[in-house]
This record gives sequence, structure tokens and C-alpha cells, in this order.
Amino acid sequence: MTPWPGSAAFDGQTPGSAANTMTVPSDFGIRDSDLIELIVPNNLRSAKEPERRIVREMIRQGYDAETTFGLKLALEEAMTNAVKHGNCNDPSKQVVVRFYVGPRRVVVMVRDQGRGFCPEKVPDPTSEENLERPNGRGIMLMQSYMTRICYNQTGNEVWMLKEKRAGRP
Amino acid sequence: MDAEREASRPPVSTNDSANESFRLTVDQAAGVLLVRLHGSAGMEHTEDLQRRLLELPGKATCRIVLDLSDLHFVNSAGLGAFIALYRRCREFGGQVALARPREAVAQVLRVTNLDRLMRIYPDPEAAIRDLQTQTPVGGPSA
Repeated sequence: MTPWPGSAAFDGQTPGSAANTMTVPSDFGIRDSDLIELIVPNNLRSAKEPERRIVREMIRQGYDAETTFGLKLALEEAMTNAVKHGNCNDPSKQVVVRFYVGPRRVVVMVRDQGRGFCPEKVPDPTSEENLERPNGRGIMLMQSYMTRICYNQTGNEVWMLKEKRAGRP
Repeated sequence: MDAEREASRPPVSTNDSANESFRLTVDQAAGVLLVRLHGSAGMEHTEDLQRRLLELPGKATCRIVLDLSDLHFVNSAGLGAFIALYRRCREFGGQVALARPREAVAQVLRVTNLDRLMRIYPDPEAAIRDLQTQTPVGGPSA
């Protein structure tokens, strides 16, 4: 969950522009050119479209129910964070999604136009004193269900890697 | 009986992730509300889920069983709705129990430690029986 070295500077204002396109983390096992990019309006209904495409492709490629569930969960958390917290529900803003679904792994990037945040400062939602808090579980769920996640320096862009489990078709 | 229960156990192997529909039904059983959640509580449904759940608790309806046997998906906002319901029921001196979650949903509850906050029962009937033995105490001061 740490920022990766070599990330380009990002001003957090203009998602999707060529100047702000970052490269996929080198240990995610794919090239930047493998990624498909979608730019969606900043609302939860529109934010479902990337999820539909990714889930449909995972099912088509034979990912099992558990893996697909985990990816869907992590993606919903990332999109909700982007729409509500990053972009503050501002309808004039957008969310950028870049994704790759291959036979051995799925990679998804979600970027908003917000100021970013520091993931390390989010309180542990599983501790006794935080169990009754209604919010704050999204990042922990993303970490739990993905093989790896990391953020850019600003904290407004998250990359997620899910590898197909060994021994599964 | 065990065979019946086994036969009615929710399937775990079907890939339901493309399912996006969601609905909620409410029944009353001797002082306990049985709320059945159906489908996928995805991000487009969670605000409605929370609003509808929070309409339920009252002095006479603060013991609630959430039947999760047909719930295919829940995210952190859906969990937040469960917690909001739990807190509201507790204000009325009541309780919330979860019943028969599918394995994927049960795992989310375990990972987040919410199985320590709300008791999970193997079937709704057991949860109803247990809550029926509890008498609501107190209530909101307002």
C-alpha cells in the first residue's frame, strides 16, 4: 500500500489527459499498453459501468466466484472512495479507470480529481473501538481481497492487482 | 431435518457477481422483524438499503433478524447500513442478528470483525427464537 517509485507528478485536476497518464507498477506483470481506459462521470450509477465490463470479462475468462467477488468488492470500494471522498460528489468531476483482464491476473487503476489522502492514517476498522463506526472499511477490504494495492504519492490514484489462484482453471 | 437444512443451504459456487438487482422484504414474527435481503447490495443500492433499514426500528420493532441467505454481495457501505441499524435498535433496547449468510458474505463479515459485533445464526428461525427471549429495555431519550 505504499507509493511506487518513479510515479510521474500528477496535479489531481485533469484525469485522462496524456500529461497525467502514469505507468502501471513494474511488478504487476503487464505493460501500460495492455490497459483499457474508461472515463466516467462522477456518480455511483455511472461508476458501475467499468465494474460491469470487468466482471463480465472475468466470468468469460473463467475466473471463479470467489475471485470475481473479491475484485468486484475492491473495485466498488475504490470507486465509492473516488466519487464520494476524492471528488466530493461533485458532478462536474470525473473518474478515470484503467483495467486489464488477462488469463492469470486482473489489474485495475482508479483515479479521481481530489487532493488525495494518506492511507496509512486511516484508523484500523477491525479494532474493538472502531467496530461500531459505520465507515472506514473500504481500504481494509481492498487490501484484504487484492493480491496487492498501491497508491500514488498524492493518494488520489490506486492500483490494484488480483492474481488468479494457483491450481484453479 | 439436517437434510432439509443442507438442501436449503445457499449455494457457494455459482458466480453471481454479474447480478445487480436488489430488494428487501419485511415480515413480523411474534415481536421480531424478519428482514430478507435479496440480490446484490452494490454501491448503487446501499443508500436506499440504509434508508429502508433505518425506517424499521421502533419501541415495538427493535429486535430484527437480517436473513442474508439470498444476499449475493455486500460492500462496506452495506456493512455500514447494518451497523447503523444495529445502533438504532440498541437505542431502543433491542438487538440485530444476522442469519445464514452465503460464504462470500460471511467472509466479509469475518474479515471486518463484524461477526464480533452482531451474532450470526445458521438459520433465521434460530435467530428469531433467540431474539424472542430478549425483552427490549430502555429507549431513546428524545
